[in-house]
Amino acid sequence: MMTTRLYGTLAGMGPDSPHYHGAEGPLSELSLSLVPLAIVAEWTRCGETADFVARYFAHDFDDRELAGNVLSTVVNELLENAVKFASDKSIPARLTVREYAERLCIVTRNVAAPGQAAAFGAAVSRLAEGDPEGMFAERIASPPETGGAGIGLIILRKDYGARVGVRITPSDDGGADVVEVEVEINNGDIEAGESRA
Amino acid sequence: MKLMLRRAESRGDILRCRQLIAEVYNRDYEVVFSENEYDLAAKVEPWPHRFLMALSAGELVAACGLYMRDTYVERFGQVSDTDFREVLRDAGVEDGYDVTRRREFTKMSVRHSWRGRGIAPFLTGAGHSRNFTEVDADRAIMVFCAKRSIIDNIFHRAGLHTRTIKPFPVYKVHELYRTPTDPMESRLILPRLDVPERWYELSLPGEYEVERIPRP
Repeated sequence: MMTTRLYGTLAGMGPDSPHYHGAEGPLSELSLSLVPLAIVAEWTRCGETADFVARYFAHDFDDRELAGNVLSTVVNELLENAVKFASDKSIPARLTVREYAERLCIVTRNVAAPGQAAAFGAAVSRLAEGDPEGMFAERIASPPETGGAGIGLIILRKDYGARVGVRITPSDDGGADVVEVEVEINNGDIEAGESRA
Repeated sequence: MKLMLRRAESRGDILRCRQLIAEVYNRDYEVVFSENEYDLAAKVEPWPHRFLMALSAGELVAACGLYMRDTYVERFGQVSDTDFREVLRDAGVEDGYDVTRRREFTKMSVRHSWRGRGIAPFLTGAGHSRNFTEVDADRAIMVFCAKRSIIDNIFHRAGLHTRTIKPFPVYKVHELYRTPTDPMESRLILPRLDVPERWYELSLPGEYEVERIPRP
């Protein structure tokens, strides 16, 4: 078994975590499995899925409309990334949202070509450690031709204080990597909307 | 190699065609699709209204589409009824066709593992059969837009005669398709006149031997 590589900030609170079923575990969870090709074939499904997931969790916030809008933006961005970077679009990707007392954790999981996964991981490391305002200005001034963490992830960091991490698990046979992207946002930042920035 | 050609009729057939075309277009050009929304700057393209399937032992190996109205050429190619009429006038067939009735051959996609066997020009020719386009029902014209190399290597290789309307504008959706030295054009095909009889009268559904046509 090859070594899993971690980039950026990861909460590591999946079902494998010893804390998952304890007092620190999620209060609520929603998980969806979807075929990326179905989203490529009907792109509005991406936004519709993000809206559904956002509304599902917005019920737990005081300002449901604002929380719904913020969560829809975040989920839509992550889902777009998962579909875009899926190297085999017929292999199902997974979207999981875990709600904790003070934060929300959104995780996508998809397969990706090894080189592309490593480049994405390195870009997320830079994003996790860098100044999001500066990175945003840099990306606007000189957008890369291909690859790298999308401007959407930079906006999530900049506008919502999101913590972003990536877990890459190489396959044993040298085929596609499994890439998990995790974004964690404090519930307070979700309710503050973009005004926190 | 024999291929079964038939129009996609059932919901499952249409879904298979859409998935094949989406897979090819996304892999090659990073394009996505939508039934009701399109945004060429965001690389979201509209789906054709009709599909033709090419099957080998039940496997869908290639598919192409047809816009029955709201053609890409008129919506994004800035081609007007006057432009169409001028081409017809130049051809001396102004009264033979109704330029307000337009069909567009589009989204010709061969599965990557089936490429290099001459399927593209074969399916492009077959896609101009009146049994697929139904142009004889309303005297419609056929249009398409493509880069010049595709026009020569696919359309002309199939024996189709094409008539230039005008250059196709530059959009982000085509950034991985066209190049400055291989630009796109909107072209017109006059059914019966420009379509060889072997294609125009091709019966559908039907099983046909695909013969390789040499490159020009």
